[in-house]
Amino acid sequence: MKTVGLFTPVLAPLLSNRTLCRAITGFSVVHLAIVSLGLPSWPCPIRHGLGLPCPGCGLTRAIKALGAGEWQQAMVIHAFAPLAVIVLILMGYISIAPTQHWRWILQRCRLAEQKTGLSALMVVLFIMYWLIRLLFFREALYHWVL
Amino acid sequence: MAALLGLLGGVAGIGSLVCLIIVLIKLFPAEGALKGVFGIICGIYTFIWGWQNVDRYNLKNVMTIWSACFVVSIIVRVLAIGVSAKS
Repeated sequence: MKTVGLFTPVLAPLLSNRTLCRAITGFSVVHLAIVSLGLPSWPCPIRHGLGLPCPGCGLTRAIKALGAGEWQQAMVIHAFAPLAVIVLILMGYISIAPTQHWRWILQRCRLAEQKTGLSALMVVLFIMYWLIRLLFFREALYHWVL
Repeated sequence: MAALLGLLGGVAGIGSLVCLIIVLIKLFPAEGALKGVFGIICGIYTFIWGWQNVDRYNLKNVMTIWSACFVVSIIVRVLAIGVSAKS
């Protein structure tokens, strides 16, 4: 098992794999488009298997609300929606960026993550946000997400 | 019809969950705990990672079953919309 700390890059290794970035961006864009049309798309395995929302459940709806300009609604559904949009845009750009630019972004991203530990912190906050909602705001979470 | 659709959807959901857990078990040691947690947050990442590493970690059967469950659950949900619209 790889050893990890708070300053271990999370985003940079993802961005270093351009095929993965293309696949995630493509899949997410198609998923968002299908959901926007009111049709069923990617079923969350945790939600459908356990009946329990996963930490990422509600993000699609929140991003959709963001797209419609309903900021308040988006933040109520999932507070991490703006961050998810930023990561998605970054992955989308990495997918088509010239190699030189891609390497520059990758280097900056890795350095920023190693210096600040921001990505790891975000992952931890994401899980804490989910746990707090699940334990203390269960009704609201189920209302918006399920 | 609705009961059958519910049963099929349930089986597909549990199948997807089991496949997700199997892929996550491979993902955690291979990519580290943080990316493993990212795999829990973003199931799409785990799904794509599984297909990308299908030969390396011998995940062909698991990924095929997960993809089949994915397709089945979408079909079930489309049919459920049709059934509820009819009634």
